[in-house]
Amino acid sequence: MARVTFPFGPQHPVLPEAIQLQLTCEDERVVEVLPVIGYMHRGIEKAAEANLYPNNIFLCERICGICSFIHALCYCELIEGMMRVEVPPRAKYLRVVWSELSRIHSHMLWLGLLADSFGFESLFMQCWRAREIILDTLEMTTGQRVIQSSCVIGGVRRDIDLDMEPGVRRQMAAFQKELKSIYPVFAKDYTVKLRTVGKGVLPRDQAWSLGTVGPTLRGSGWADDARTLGYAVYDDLGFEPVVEIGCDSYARMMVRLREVVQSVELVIKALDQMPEGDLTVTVKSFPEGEGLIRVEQPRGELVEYARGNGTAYLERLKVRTPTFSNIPALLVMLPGCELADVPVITMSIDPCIACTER
Amino acid sequence: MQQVRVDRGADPVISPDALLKEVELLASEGARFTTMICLDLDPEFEIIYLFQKPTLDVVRLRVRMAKDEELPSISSILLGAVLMENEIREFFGVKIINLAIDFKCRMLLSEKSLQMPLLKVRPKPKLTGGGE
Amino acid sequence: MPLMSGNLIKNLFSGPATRPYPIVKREPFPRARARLAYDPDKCTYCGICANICPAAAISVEEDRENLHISRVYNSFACISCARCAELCPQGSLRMEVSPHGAADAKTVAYSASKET
Ligand code: SF4
Ligand code: SF4
Repeated sequence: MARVTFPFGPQHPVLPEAIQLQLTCEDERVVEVLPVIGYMHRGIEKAAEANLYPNNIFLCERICGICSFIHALCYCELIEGMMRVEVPPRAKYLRVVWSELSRIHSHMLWLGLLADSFGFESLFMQCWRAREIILDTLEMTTGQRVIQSSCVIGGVRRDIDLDMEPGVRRQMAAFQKELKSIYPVFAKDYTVKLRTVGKGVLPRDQAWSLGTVGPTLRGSGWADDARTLGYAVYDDLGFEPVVEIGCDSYARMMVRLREVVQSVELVIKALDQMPEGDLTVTVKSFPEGEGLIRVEQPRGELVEYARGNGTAYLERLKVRTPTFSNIPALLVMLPGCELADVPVITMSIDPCIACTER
Repeated sequence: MQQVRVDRGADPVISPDALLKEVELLASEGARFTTMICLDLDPEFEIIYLFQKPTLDVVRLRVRMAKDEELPSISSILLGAVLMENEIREFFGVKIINLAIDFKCRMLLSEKSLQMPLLKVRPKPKLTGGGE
Repeated sequence: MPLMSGNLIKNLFSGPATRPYPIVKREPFPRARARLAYDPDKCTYCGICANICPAAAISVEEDRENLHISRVYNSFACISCARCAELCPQGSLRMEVSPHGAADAKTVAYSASKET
């Protein structure tokens, strides 16, 4: 049978960012795939070496627009760990609140895009409408919707004070109500199931050996979540990873859906338990030696490595973003699927290409 | 609580020839590839390989090599490493051989961009076409 | 579809979720960081803001012979992080909440310690 090779992307209605998949098809069936990246490289690792180390927070935040707070948190926790700075407990709780809010808004964005990729437009709109509540909460508490810039080395810059807290709780209640109307549609709807169940199967052992992370891995039955390592205060909040055993697109979707529910609970719990106290400690020294940290992003585990030499500049900052290790999974998921399922399967790893290429 | 500071002395340092055997051993124990980090410690490269055991623990492995030495690719054992190896080859000019998927140093950079941008001491740029 | 129909019927009879923008404007939140306002009268040209700006949007140049310091603020480069507003000892920098007109109000603004 004749084989046809053609590009899917970089500009494709279903892809939120520019990635190209070179698909080889026999009739309607995909037999080979080669992901091609390189449309969005910005040289952030190089720029990080030229910046003063506190200024790198703002640079790291711009690695990804969706999980910007968690990038900043990761960088701050890394430098704090290298300099042995102890962050005040209130700041740790606030970091959890904002990172979980980021996670919710990232997952809601993704759920909307998934609905869009199989053509369920009204569900897409519904998801993004619910996400708006979270973005408003972020703007109310930190000052900006997407790039929060509220994490600094030694603590946080903004507070959720007593005036603001009831507002946040109200927003979370409003969001929970919206979520209640969306959840059953994703979980039980006939058309959604038809497009996701059994599509893009990533077997349990391959998910592990290919190095996938985050919901892609947890959808294949591995309870692997960097939040269990206990950065910030996740261990005090009784965090448990969400696991599904389906190994297909539906399982990955359910992981994210259930994580949204869990994150809302974590936010409320963190607000309940938040201690009083300072927001920052003063940091005087410079980073020295080597540091390595793993933090859980909406898309998976983020690994950051830094090497300092006792000056205000870092010698090397390495960021391994989650999508970087999830892209090889496409090599297993896509071959054998139908051409019409390519968008759904590609979306199911939640590709964040700007992250990947930095 | 995870340990952020890395103790350099605690990691095994091996030569490029011994790499494949070590990685095979780790892979047979069920470890998987997390990432690799290249450092330009002029006049050498130090490459840190990070692997993850089936628990959440990270195993570190350091390879020291001269700048013109060849490094075998581990992508035949753990396919997940292939993108990172391409990136390191592109950003540092480390000679990595036997890549499973070879982007020929054009994965993230283009012909017109600065070549090997992360090297501390850069060889004289050859101005071909568009320049820097 | 049946699971979605409840939402659909509700959406059909409730008003639009969006605002008719130029007519109805959303009130900005009191903490929003939208635009940097600068008051040259209070400024002592100490240069702190130029040193800490992560985007290098502010620069201060000193001309010792004429005892003249000039400060340049490039709002195209500014990322509205509000670090300068927090650290300015004279309080001459402030973050404004209203973004209206920000796109066309962007400029490169000069100010100097002594008019020359
Ligand atoms: S920190 Fe304030 S007083 Fe100092 S130069 Fe900047 S604006 Fe002027
Ligand atoms: S708000 Fe931030 S980016 Fe803008 S001038 Fe001030 S410090 Fe620089």
